[in-house]
Amino acid sequence: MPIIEAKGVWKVYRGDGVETVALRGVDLAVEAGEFTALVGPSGSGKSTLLHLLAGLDLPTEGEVWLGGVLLSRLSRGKRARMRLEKIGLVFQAYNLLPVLTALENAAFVLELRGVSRAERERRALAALEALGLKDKAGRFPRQLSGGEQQRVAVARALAAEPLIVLADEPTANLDSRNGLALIERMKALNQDRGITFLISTHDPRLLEHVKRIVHLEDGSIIGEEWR
Amino acid sequence: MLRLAWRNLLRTPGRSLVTGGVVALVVFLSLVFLSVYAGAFDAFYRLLLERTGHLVVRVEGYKEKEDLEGLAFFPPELPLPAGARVEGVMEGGALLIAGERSRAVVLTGLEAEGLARQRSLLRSGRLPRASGEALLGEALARALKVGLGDEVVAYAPGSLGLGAYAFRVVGLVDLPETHLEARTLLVPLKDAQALLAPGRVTRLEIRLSGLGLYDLKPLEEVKASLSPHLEGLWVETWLEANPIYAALLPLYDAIMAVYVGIFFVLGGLILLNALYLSLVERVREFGLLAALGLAGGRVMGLVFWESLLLVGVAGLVGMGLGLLMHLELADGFRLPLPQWILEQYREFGLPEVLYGRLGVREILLTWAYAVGVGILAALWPGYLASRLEPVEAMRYVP
Repeated sequence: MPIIEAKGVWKVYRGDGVETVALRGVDLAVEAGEFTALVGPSGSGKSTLLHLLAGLDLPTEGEVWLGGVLLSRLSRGKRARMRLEKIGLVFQAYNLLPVLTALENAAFVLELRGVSRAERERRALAALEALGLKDKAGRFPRQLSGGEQQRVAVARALAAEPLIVLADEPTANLDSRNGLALIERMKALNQDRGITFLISTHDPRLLEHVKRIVHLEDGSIIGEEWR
Repeated sequence: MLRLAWRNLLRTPGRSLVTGGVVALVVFLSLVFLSVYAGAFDAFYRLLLERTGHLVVRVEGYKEKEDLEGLAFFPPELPLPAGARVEGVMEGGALLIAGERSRAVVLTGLEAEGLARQRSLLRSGRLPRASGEALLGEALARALKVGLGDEVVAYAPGSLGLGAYAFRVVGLVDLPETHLEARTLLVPLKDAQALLAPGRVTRLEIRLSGLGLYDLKPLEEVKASLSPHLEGLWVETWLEANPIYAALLPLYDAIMAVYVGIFFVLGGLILLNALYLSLVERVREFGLLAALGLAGGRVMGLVFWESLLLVGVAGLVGMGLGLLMHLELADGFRLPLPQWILEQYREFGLPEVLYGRLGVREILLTWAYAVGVGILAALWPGYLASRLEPVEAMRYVP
């Protein structure tokens, strides 16, 4: 059974008398252990699809299933709980809480889940170590580079041991060195620990490392390739 | 969450300091106000109690009786608790004559303690020390054209006593109301009884020891124990004997709550402004929190914690300073009022030095207001934060 699945998903934004179709009947299923990239030009619907899969928004039509649960049947609060328990999220920018250290940020989701302090710090430190940031655990986001901040965001997602990590253009704001380092870390985590990743990107460096590429254009999936 | 709330407050230290400072100032001013207010209130009621006595005994239905015969009575033996003092008072109408001039007066006969209590009203001369000496209201003395050392004659035809009695004016008193001053003649009780009704009084004032100003329950118990011994007489507490002032007493709490409430409304608006600004500046952050899985209620809780932490810390500072100031006020203070107001204040016989009072109730009231304002001010920003859509909020550009 897929971890996450979109069935005939449409998303239409309406405002000021203008109707914008962001997704047109998208079908997508992601199985455990996949390292999948959603590719497409700006405005193709990548971010919208990720937001719907994460339950941050609801489709205008169609269904989104996460871990066997239909998200549109859940209240706003229950969808938030679902994200907290099952999804790791990494955004393009503004990922971290500026008043918390790298360690506290990495442990934040676990704190929200009510995990004990010792346990969440152990898991957050392990995640930071896996991303090469153990020595910067006590630093605040303003004391980290952009690449390091993105890695802390990935560490936060990993420390929570989610069903799947959804990353929205995680390398878009990084220089080539930091971008590549992040991609390699994520690939290693997928290979070594079997963590499932679904990443939206148009970064060609990332595409060299993924197992599956889903092409999106004008809100529709126009092709797919396996490696 | 507490740690996050605390650090969020510290990220804008200037704003937190100013807002916290306002909250601390409001708490401080509230405590100072309550201390001064209670001190002034106590002074007024203490004066009333001193003048009236804890309990007053008069004939039954005295309010409907006008003639002296109906109002005067022989003081009965009363089973009073240890330390209680009883003072008789004789009050009746008379005509006061000086040479060719005369005025209708209310002649009041007081025991030595009662006369001594008039000291604060004394404008010139001294208190009566012997039989045949009298205090006159200044306006009465002017009307009769008499001064210190002059002789006046009180004439009370048809009374139960001598009907006429000569007094030497030894002192002049200043009363707040001129019409009272123009009718006031204060003399020793024995002289008043000789003139009006030998051996009788028109009221007995009972002063108890060890009772606080507002200890009304034990007072009621003493009153109940006296009633069976008062045939044809009535006993009233000092508040029952002064119904107009007694009606003011329940207003104390309301006035206190309203004044302190006004302080806190102003403080609350500043707090609300600070929290709202903080929300606007952190919309993307609240979006991230919601995206990570923080439900609306917990987002709202974060805003509440920030507000309550700010109010709590600032409130404690304000309370500490307010209590220190109260300790100073409790040692005695003079009202910072213009001289002409103080002059009138003195005419009422109120003390120039007041003593601040703060009870647990006043401190709890102030604290409850602070916490209440903290919660109310966080309500709207907290609600807005909890309703933010994560995707839109994270795209928000301040």
